[in-house]
Amino acid sequence: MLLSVQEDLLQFALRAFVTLFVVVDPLGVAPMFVGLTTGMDDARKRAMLSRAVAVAFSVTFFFSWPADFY
Amino acid sequence: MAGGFLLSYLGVTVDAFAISGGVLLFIASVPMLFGHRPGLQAPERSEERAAGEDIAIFPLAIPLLSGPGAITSVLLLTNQARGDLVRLALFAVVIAAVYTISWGVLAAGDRVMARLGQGKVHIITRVLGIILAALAVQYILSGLAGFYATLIGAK
Repeated sequence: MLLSVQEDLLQFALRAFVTLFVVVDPLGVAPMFVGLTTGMDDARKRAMLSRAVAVAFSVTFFFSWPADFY
Repeated sequence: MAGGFLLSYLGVTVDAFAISGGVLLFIASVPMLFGHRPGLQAPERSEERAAGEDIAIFPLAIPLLSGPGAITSVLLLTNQARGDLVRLALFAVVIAAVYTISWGVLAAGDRVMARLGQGKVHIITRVLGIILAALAVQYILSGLAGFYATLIGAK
């Protein structure tokens, strides 16, 4: 019983991961990132990248919470 | 859903989101294509401006890393969690994992490009500009297709 519940959870997590990974598509975005940051120094690129990922996470996370929690 | 609630409250559909994202992304691809760097990229330090060349939030975070596709699938997956706290927590971990991996992939990609020469990077930038422009148009087309589906009641 417990095992089947966990399996179900694992399946959900896996499906969520694969779906999100495919739509976020970091492998496809990587070249765009390089193109957009041409001419910037490394520290600046790093800062841009970290900020972009933080913002993207926040936005996506915001959409992942049901309305009844508010 | 909190985000879904906001969108429906404003009467904004994900299709409209896709179209506006596409238009904005297309604008971002133009300087990549023609080698201009107005605002988006400053070739020299003296030209750096605090806000003008900030690509972190737009277009990198939105819509490239968190676009209409990501938002739509998150809304769908949240629905599938059916208010189960464990699933929602798990989903939050999954989102964090996806973006952590994305950070790693982007940082690695940048290091690979750094090893290529300036000339090659220029060529690649132009080619990627074309692809980015096409991607932008694809966003607009998906938005239009989604809107058409709503119109004929298939959705």
